[in-house]
Amino acid sequence: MSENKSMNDWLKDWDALQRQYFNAWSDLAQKAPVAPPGAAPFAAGNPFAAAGANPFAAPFAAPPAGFAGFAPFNPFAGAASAPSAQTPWHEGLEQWSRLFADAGKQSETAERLTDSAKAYVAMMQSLFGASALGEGAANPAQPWLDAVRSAVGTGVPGFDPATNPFAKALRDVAGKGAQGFAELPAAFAPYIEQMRKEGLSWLQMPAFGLAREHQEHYQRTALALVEYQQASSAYNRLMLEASRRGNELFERKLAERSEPGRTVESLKALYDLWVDAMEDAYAEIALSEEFSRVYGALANAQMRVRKQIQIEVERTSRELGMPTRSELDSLSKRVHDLRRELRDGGNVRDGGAVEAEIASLRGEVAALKKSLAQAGAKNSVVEVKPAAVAPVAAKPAAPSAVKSRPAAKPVRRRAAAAKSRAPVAVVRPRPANEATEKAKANSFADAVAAMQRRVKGKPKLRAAAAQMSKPSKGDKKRSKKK
Amino acid sequence: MNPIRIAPQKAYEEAQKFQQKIAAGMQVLRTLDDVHYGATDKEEVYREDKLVLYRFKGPNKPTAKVPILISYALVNRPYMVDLQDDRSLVKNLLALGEDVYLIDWGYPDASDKHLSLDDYINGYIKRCVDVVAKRHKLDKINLLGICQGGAFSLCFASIYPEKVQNLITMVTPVDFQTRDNMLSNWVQHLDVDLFVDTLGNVPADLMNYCYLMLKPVRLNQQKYIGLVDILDDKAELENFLRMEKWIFDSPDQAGAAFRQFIKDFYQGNKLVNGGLKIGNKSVDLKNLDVPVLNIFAEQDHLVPPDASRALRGRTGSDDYTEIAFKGGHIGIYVSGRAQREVPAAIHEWLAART
Repeated sequence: MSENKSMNDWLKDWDALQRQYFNAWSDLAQKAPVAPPGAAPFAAGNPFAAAGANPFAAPFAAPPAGFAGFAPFNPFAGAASAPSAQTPWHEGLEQWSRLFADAGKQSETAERLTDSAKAYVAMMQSLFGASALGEGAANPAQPWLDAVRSAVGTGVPGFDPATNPFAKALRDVAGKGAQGFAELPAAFAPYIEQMRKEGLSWLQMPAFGLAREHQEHYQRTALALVEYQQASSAYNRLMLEASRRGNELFERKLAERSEPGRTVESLKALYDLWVDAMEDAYAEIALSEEFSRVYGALANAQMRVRKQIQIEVERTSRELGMPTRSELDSLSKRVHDLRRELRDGGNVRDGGAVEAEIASLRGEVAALKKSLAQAGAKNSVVEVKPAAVAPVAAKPAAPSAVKSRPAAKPVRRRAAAAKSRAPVAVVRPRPANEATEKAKANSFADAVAAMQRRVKGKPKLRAAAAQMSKPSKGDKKRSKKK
Repeated sequence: MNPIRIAPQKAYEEAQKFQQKIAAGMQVLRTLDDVHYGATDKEEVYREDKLVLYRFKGPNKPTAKVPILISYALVNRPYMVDLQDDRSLVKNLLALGEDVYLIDWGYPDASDKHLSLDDYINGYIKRCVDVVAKRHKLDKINLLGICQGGAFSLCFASIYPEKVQNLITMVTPVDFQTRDNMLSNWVQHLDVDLFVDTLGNVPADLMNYCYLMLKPVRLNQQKYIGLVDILDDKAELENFLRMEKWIFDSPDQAGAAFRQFIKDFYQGNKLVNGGLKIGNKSVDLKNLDVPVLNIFAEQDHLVPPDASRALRGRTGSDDYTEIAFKGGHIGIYVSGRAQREVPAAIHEWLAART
């Protein structure tokens, strides 16, 4: 019976199972058609469409030694190449992954899936080996802990300095068309080598002569690159610390499971516990003030390097007569500003000054109306309720309830509206001799007449007055209502 | 006692099952075509630059008098609110008689790098609100802001309370500097001027890497190992892929808006500390005197619950309601519980204020 098998037999079965799958993957990889990019995958001619052609059906059709459901084991039957003794599963999945690379559609998900599956199977394999060592040991959990550590090593997603995802992200962005980030160390090798020999001070030495600007630029770039490498090291150190701390927490979490009823009884449960530990450890580090500074320094350092590269690209582009990024930025800024100005009715560039001007003019109109009303009251002819003076209100002033001579009405409205339209040149109805005219200007019509006298023979003032005499939309609406 | 009790046979069977699943699942994965999203019909009612304002069309005429305008975050695509037939906040709101509009910000490109928060809030959102209000002959409408879009809605409702009937915020950060806010910790020492001046628009891939690094092992590995369990279930696999598509279908961030968002919200925490200006308009949450419904997720790793809870007592409204949802930042739209609870909660809260 299978329960009576020795540990050694189980290990053999495990190995057999992996090889069996490697064969199946290999077989599939050989048979699968390579779909042209963009083509609908697996249409006519798909050898796997028929259920009976599933290469995985066969291996499970009959049992391997001692197992129902498995076929007799033949480790190398049909294999394109012999799998590595250590990682046949990895290689099988790699073959599958390569198939997906050509298939388009779900290739990214398949890639992530195979990467994760490889890591998981590696862990399972280590744990399976560990299971043989646990029983009877002084610390029975120790072989499991060691197995997890050896399986994942530094390859924890996000923790591995070699695949530092932040650095990778920054390497990948905005680098298309420009010099690749990975190539930089080679390009700046002479400078960095010099720096190593003589210290950073070499990069801060003053430059002379015709090429001084260029030398300074390269010195700054090399310095930025050195700073970036230092920042990157500091970040990687923290990630290693997170990994170490994760193992500590994993041990602690395992110890908590020693109580009856809480023991870990499957590989998946053990893996999930390990993930919890790693995430907890990472969160501790990633929420620390030190991480905040290191992360900021890393991002800033890389931006400085990128900036230096952009300067170089810009210089080269200018020399080749190509448009540069600065020029495009400048153009897009102008377009953006114009677009905003257009939408906001020309009220952007002065930061709301026109609005303020209009409000001020409305205030003046209201004051003028008030003074007219007061003068009218004296003569018992005009009765004007002054409009509320809105400080910076965009809404029009409240319409005044006006009782006055009919002839004066339209003139008064036009003048008031014209004032609100004139942004800068405000023409006040000022008499030539204010002392004498003041007493006379007791209606808006008189004021307009005085203004007309004033603008006679003065073309600029006349043009302004003509502009003022045009009725606004508001005037037209009000006239219609009346 | 040994904490690990995994019998060799059980380990073997587990490995065997895993391999069987992955083998069968790979077949299904290969046969899947591109997944599609969007369950509800919609019509375009306004367009400006790359922005499109949509109105969703339900099977029945809306019974609500005041429509809802959804303002989504800039960092992801807004179709999360209408992902698929059985996972759609929009569809459920329509079924309850609500009239729903949605702002789709589009994908900014290099020509949009100067778009600022002033453009987004005093420009785009304001004009969309005006368009919706005009269509319904109303002075004010209901505004539903999600995540970053919620922060924008708070700003908008503080500047223009006269245009907002009711404000609903979902998973919206208010206090950007709570101790458990990982994203906030990461940007405190970022020289955002240098960052934006160098990158122009902030690439979506970079944003995605940052989000994945919030929980690196869970999001980069454990999630895909869990996927093996559903690999042989075509419907479940499509759900997974649809979500996967949404997660990585991210727009670049307009440089100027990103710059101000990091400086004023994350680094300055000005929604809480005060002093926030959007364009030439000051934002003071005390000006926000309309009814507020604040919904947050208890297991939110992007916007910690405390970041959202901070809204309580900070507005000028005397009608403030808070709902804690049992789930995460995404689950609040797509989980089964969300379908049952969230649209109903919004609808009932609005109905009581009509």
